[in-house]
Amino acid sequence: MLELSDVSVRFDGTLAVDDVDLAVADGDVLAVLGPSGCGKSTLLRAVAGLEPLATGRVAWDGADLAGTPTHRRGFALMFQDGQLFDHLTVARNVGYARRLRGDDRRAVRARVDELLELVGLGGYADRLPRTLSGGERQRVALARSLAAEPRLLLLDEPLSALDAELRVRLAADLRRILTAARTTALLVTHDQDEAFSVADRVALMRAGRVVQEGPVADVWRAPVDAEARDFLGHRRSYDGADAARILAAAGLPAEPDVTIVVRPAGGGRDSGAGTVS
Amino acid sequence: MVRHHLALSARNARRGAYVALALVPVAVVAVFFVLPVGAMLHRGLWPEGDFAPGAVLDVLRRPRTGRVLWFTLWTSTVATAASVALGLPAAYVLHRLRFPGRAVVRAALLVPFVLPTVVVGLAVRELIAPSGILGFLGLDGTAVAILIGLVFFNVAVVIRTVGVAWESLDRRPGEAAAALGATPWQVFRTVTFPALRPAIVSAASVVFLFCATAFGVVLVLGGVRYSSVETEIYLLTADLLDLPAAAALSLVQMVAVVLLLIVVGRLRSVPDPTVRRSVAAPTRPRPRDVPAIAVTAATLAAVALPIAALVVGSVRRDGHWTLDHYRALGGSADGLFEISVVDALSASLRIAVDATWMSLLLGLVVAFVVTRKVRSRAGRRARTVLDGFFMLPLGVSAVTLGFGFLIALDQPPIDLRSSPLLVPIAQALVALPIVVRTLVPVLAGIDDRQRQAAASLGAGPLRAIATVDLAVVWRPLLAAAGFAFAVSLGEFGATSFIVRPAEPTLPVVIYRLLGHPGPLNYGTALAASVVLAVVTAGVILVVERLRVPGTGAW
Repeated sequence: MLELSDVSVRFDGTLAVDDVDLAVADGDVLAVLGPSGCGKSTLLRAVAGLEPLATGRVAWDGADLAGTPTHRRGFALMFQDGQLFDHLTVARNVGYARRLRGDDRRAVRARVDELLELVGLGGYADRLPRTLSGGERQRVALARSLAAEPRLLLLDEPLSALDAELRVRLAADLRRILTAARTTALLVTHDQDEAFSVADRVALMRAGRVVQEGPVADVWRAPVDAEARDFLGHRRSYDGADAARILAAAGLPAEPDVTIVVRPAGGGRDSGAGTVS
Repeated sequence: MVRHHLALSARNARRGAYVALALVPVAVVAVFFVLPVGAMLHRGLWPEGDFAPGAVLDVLRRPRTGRVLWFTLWTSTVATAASVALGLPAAYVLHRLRFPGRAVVRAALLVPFVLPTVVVGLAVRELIAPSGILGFLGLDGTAVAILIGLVFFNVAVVIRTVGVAWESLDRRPGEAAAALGATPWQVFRTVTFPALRPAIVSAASVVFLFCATAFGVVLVLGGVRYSSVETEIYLLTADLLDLPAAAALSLVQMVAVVLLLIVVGRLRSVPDPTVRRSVAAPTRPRPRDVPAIAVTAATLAAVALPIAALVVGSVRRDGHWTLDHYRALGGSADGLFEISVVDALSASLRIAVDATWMSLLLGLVVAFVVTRKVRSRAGRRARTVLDGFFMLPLGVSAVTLGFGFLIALDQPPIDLRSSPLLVPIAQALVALPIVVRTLVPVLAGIDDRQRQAAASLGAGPLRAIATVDLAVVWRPLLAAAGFAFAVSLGEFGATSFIVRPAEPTLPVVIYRLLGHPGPLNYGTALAASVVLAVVTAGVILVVERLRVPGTGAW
């Protein structure tokens, strides 16, 4: 399992990640959710060994990774824009990590075909990345990361470059693929739907700090403060004058210090229906 | 503590490797560039072992020095303006329009830039000499002749630099402006030109630099009447042995060039050099493109004329067609020289091969070092300084470099006077800035996250470079090899000082032939120029085929 303790990352004097403690158990998917600029991508890069830590430690199964360079960590990082190697075919991109290990050519090809089927791109093996659509590129990037058989999969906003419809579909696929292989994964995103539909646990991050961490359902049900509540929904909590106006409109008696929370129905996905408490 | 220690030592090892790599080219440039040029300046400023800046100031107050400086300034300015005016339409036509034969025209317009300066001078002189095609204009021996030579030589720089920027320019902002009611001219003025300005400024400043330090062209066309700073330095060191004066002029030139390079660097720097290269599909010519096409055709004709004059001149003698000049290439013309042109060509080729691998190796390391992502602010500053340091050879007179080699590298521990590597080393340094400028945009354009993606999939640092960098850089590397080869073949300023008399290069032999009277010598010089031009043009045609669209600006 992955453990972060007191992790801080500094850029030219400013603190991008501030004293973060997190853990991801084997087979779990943890989403770090926060607005852009909150330091979540930096945190992910620090886990990958791409940013030096100012303080703290990143450990795997209790072993400190401080002296382990990126390529020996066994953490595959999937970038927001895929970062496919444009000069290599889809098959060579996906099989890259296996070829590095010197696997037998035929075995690599078989595994590549299997993974391409898994991500729904069977028959794309000989295409070049430039000829693919955005969604297809992200699927190839996912297959390439999975082919490395990482002990931890790092996902940096894997779906946010895609349009809304595709995002919902790919999120479900991603969840299916990750749970099927019992992959341990750390996902960062600013999109709450992405976080809640893919992850088991969620950590809310703000200004470099983790403000709340827990199972998806718990975080959804009980946000730690008003800011977290507002972030989780597009302003779904109201208090003060706004709350009074809503109560009046609903024909309910006015109450002091009330907070009205609008909650969508069903696992956190927007379905239009919902409850007011 | 232990783990911190581990992390630190891993990072220090990487930093150490980086610094060691950076030190290699720094050492080479220090020994073979700073040392010779420093020695030359030292001779001039400390003539008797004492610092005597008064002599330098005296030199600068001489009326002749003033005339030389003024002549260099105004010819460079006018030639730069003319090159930009002719180059812009051609850049548009050759990089945004689609028509049959485009690749050939493009390559043809690039040829003058790589022609040896002595050949360019000779071709222009052949054109405007009283017996030439344009002899009736009476331009022979005037400053206009030099201007023609400079523009002929440099218009290719504008076409290439601006054209490359133009072809990767997104078409859509212009289309958006047109949809908002802008006329084609307004689109150019408000959208296209601002987007091209960095490339135009960059091209203009490089052209100015080439004009201000031009040597062969001015030497051949200027005769005794006109002298630029560069030829004056040559005259003062080689003929008059007035070292303080030469050192003074070198200093002025160096300061001016360094200032220019700083300004260019500022104007050229962009916040994020990372590019996803896109090349807009060229369109078919439309009626409104006619003026630009006309200017391009005229430029093509203007470039072709001197070359045609050169070729014709090489096969004519006393009003008859003859191949005598070419026959004379194998032997020695008029028995004056014991070195045949064929021998000189083979010496040139051998030297060019050595100069090419040296400048490539050096340029690759430099480009690699200056494009690495550096985390700390101090590191970034150090890298900027380093970047400028490697551009120095661009700004220092080749004549100064050659003379510096002569006086600085002739005693132990570095005694290379008789080494066959002396000439290639000097030429490699002259070619270094072009090699670096060809490779840097390509390496800087690589998204660092590509290497990180490779690392996260298990590739070690060298393997990541092999996967990501090598895949992108091999074509520009071959192109840079071609440029270095062409530069080396044509190099004259530095070579003329340090070449071994018994083994001269082809440009040196051509210049020697010119210096001796007799129609056969002159004709043989023309024939040798044609041979040299064909060889360099051949190399450049190969380079043009290897060019990566959207890159390759200077």
